[in-house]
Amino acid sequence: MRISPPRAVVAAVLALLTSALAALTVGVSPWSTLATIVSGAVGTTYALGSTMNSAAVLTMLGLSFAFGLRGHVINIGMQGQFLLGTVGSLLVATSVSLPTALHLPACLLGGAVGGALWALIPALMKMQRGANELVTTLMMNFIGVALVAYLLRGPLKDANADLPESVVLPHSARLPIIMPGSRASAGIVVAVGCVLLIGFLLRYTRWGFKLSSVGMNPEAARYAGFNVRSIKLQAFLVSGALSGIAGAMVLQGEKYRLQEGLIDNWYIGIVVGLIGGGSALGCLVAAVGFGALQTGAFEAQLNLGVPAAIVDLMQGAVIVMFLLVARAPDIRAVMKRHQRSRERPTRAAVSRGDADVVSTSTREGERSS
Amino acid sequence: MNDVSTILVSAIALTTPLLLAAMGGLLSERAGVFALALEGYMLVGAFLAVIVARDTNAYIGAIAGGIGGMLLAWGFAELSIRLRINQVTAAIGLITLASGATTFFNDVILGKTGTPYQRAPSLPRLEIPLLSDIPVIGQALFAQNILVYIAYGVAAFLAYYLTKSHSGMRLSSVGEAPRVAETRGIPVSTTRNGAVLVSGLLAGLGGAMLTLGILSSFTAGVSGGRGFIALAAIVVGGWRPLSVLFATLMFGTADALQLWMNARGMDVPPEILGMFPYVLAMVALCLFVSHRAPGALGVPFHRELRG
Repeated sequence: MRISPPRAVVAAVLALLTSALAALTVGVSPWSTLATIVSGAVGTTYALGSTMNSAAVLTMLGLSFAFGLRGHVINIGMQGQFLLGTVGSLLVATSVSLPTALHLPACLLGGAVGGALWALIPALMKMQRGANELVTTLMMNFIGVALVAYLLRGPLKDANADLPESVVLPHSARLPIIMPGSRASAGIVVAVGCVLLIGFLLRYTRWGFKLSSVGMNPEAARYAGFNVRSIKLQAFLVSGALSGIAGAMVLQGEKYRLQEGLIDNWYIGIVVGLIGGGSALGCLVAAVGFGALQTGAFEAQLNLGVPAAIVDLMQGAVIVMFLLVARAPDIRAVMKRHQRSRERPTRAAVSRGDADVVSTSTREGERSS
Repeated sequence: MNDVSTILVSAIALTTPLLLAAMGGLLSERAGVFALALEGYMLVGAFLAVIVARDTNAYIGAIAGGIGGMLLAWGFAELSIRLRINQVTAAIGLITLASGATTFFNDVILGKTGTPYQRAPSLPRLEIPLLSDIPVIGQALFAQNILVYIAYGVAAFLAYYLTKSHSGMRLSSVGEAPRVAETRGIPVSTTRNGAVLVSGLLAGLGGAMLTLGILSSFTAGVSGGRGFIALAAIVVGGWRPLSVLFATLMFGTADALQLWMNARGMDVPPEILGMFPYVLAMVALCLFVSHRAPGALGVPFHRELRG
């Protein structure tokens, strides 16, 4: 789903207009909605910090999805892996006491382990029994949500709290604020670090090459003598770990205690991974866009009385607009009512196996950019 | 009514939304189009059914729900069949749009001070004389609302259609080997469009069953992953209509059991009980692994390509 920058701008503008029109239904003028969204996303230091926090989480989720895809695995279990990441991080934070310099990375690692373990279940099911991971990871999301709900009412509940929530993290486990006057936490640094690391691994290491080969053509990789099963398993686990770190970041950088509903927009991670074209840097750019949208729309809800769900509506609009804009040449062809699409694959592409796109591949559509 | 027949009645009712969605999804997947967007169709159907039923009656609401699911399916068909956008991407986009739009307009219609859910009239139960008096199973099978009968009718029809009828064979060939089907003169894109539209209609009715037949209300995200469970049922049932029917019955019964145990106040926490249908789906996916997926499932079709 790679998309060129000018087209991305067109799509974003169209989506904003759609949402502004939706705001009309509650009697708010489209222009003030747009203005509020923009100023609410980047207008003040505080807003900028919130945008960056959202972007950091979405970056991790997008990376998680994109990394799985690179290894030919469709992991859409980011919600469950994120939640188990929060649990892993919380356990490390509350069970050991260390100096901050050690405690922070230990908790993040706890998050990574939690996420990876949650991904291990569908991964093993796929390896051993061939169960379709798209469905199993989704199921694991629902199970994860229920599990955290149970833990917060039982074993992990703060005895002194009325609500189902955990104890507050010790200060040594909290990610510091990196921008004074805002809530921007060091999770942003972690996310950027992960982007650079994953980008480097995929581009410059032998392991990354193996992984990408498996993602592009598992059969060919098998003939080349790669251990495809073990590479897929690694892709699955790293993908889960990245979502788990996202959970740890939210817990340690924003909330400081585990509550319900910490991640309800997880599926935007899928979109970030896809719009980012499966590259680490692309995920970062797309995540900043969606992070700004979320923060701005939240502001619009506070100041203008637009229903909170405007956020969800806008995100849906953005995705659909992106899809349409990415396929603009095709749409023109459809409008002209002639059947031939301008970007029909050449015969050479077919023999390379390009058109034989498995439903998992994001390479469908790259030719359009 | 004893416990067994109580559970049976609710099991059949809870199976119905799953069954309608799964049958729609089955038709779509047999034609080679991945049915991940079922969840979105159900949500739109559930929402529109309630909105329309509030001002008219439950029957017109159910029809509106079916049409609503069909509208979203039309969008999916345009994106995935005509524009050949990756089907997983297109489905995720439309699910997001459906959940956003239903939540948003639910808020708008209720106003900001309203209660967070919409009350709606419910579909009346239609007792079939004599048959509904059969002990244990009578009430469960023959005293349900119209959508339940429709769902089982659709399942029976599809069992015949996909395995015995000429037209069903043609549809399956489109999902199995579109290139071959095209050369035999079967219009691939048209067939797929039709299958996707029908899947939207059925899943939309499934959503209507959820809000008008079971809950009598709409809340944000009311479908609660049932579209995905229906997807699991299709895989577990190995893309065969009767097996898919049994898979949905299994999941529906699991749902009914956990609700019943909840109501009875068992020692198990409700959150753990709530996992039951999903855990069952995972186990079933491992036990009944089927490699009988349609050959061209999820692969966009280029007519002018001569492979």
